[in-house]
Amino acid sequence: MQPTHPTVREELKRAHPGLTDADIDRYDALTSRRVTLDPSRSAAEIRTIDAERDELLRTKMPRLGQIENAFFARMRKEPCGSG
Amino acid sequence: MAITRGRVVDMTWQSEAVCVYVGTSATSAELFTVEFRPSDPPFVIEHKRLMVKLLTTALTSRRDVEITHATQDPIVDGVGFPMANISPVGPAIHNDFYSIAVAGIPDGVDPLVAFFSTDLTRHGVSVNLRFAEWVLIDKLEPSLATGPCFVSLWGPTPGNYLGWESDRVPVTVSDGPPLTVRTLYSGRPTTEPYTFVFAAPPAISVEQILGPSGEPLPGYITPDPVLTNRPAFHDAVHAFLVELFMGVESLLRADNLQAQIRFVTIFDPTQGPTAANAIVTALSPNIIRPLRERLNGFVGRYWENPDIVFCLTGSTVYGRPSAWFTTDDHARAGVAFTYDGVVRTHGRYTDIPGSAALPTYITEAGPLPSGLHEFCHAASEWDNGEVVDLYHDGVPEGYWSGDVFKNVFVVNKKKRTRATDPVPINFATYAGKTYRSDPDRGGAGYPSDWKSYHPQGKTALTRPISGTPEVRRNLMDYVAPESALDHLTFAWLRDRLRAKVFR
Repeated sequence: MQPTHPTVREELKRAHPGLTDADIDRYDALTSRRVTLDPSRSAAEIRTIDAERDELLRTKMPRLGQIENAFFARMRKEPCGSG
Repeated sequence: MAITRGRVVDMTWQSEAVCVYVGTSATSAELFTVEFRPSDPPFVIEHKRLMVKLLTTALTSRRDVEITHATQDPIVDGVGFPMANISPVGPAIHNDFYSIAVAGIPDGVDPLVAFFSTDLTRHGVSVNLRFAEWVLIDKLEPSLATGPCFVSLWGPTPGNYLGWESDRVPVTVSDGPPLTVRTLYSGRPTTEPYTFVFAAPPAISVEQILGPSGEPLPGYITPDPVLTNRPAFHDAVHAFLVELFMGVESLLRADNLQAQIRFVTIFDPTQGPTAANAIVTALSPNIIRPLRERLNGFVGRYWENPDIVFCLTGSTVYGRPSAWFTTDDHARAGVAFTYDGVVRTHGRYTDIPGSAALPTYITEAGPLPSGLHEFCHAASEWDNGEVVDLYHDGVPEGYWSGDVFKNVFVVNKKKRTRATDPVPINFATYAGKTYRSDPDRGGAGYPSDWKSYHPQGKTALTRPISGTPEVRRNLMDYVAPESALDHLTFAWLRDRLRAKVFR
């Protein structure tokens, strides 16, 4: 999985006052780990990660999906290269 | 002996002979005969039957033949098919991919055009993607006349008005429907070529969603919009091929690997949104993931047994790509390697293919090498080397299998005891060579609280102004067009790919 694009980071922080780079880093770290865990081997760790991810999303950046998808849609029209 | 080359324009049977007319047209053809004599021994009869079969095939497929015969004698002694310097891969169908394998397009031929010609017409179609060994037309345009014709490749060369033109080979253009499974390029001529499948998922399994108050809601299966947008699928395959093979990172160009890989597309609009067809899953809020345990069942229905599956979803809700590692077939042969003194194996064969899920619309966007980043995860292996993300401090350590803790082997990331410890000079020894660590994370620096560190990155071309070499950011850390793999991961993945590609 790719890290959160720098532009999305800035948009996320603008949309969610109080959100920090450390929160986004934590989200990226949890999600990167989550998507490479085999459910048959690591069910307990997945549950732990999901709980923390869900909490981060719910309390810190509930509009992440919307903002990131909007960025992807813009990028389709005006490709930009970093991240 | 003489050899006459031309098209078989007609054949007729006489009582004990076959008359074969070879030339450019019925009026200008030369007559040859295959005579079945009562005195012929059985093996000669069989040989003549085989020649007639070949000639019939040449007649029906409009292929040129080479007739071997005695000078001034019309009796056929042998039949050969001269090899053209191009060969279409699969039928020509409107709105479908169309690819042509080619031997040696001269340097400087640009742009490249595929000409579909009859005696009366000549219709040029731009080639959209070009490799040394094959070319791709993303969608064969529906304005192309249907029916028999000849296809050739043509392109201007510097200083040559006539340019370069390939041989012409017979094809038949049809108006559809596009193929469900299409081989774009056959790869290495072997029984089990290393294969990439680009699959359009018929359905998405949405496993975990959160309600308005953050409460988990039950999952469901939903149709993947990609099956209603075939052009987007074609565009995404094109974009992926560009990303994988034509970017800064040369992994798949090393050792001419790209010429050995077989490429297949699966796009089956007849498939409904069932659990078995849900080969991708959505993770809240917007992540798309391949469902690795369903991939063999899905692609197996189409008689495919790939090493890597790219699931190209049409979802605009789940837009963040992800990947799963490969599981090698450990029961079959592999190539041993040593990493930090431990002997491990690059498996030659695949049990569960590596996989990546990417939205068609993000791959269209470019130029981020998302597909290559995910491919590097997917091409690595659960138990014999994971290539992991470098943009966070976590290093996978292992998992519990019953009461036993099994360590995970990570190729490209290690951990110091304390964040204040210096980054070791050497990262690892792989295949007898010592690879250095990246002291400053490609110039970005490691955060002060990180314990993890990475292998040393590659150096880009010299900066034009300062004249100093520029270290490239690591593709697994920072996904940008100029990013590249570090030396160690490049060497490890290259060896792993070689083990599979040349099996």
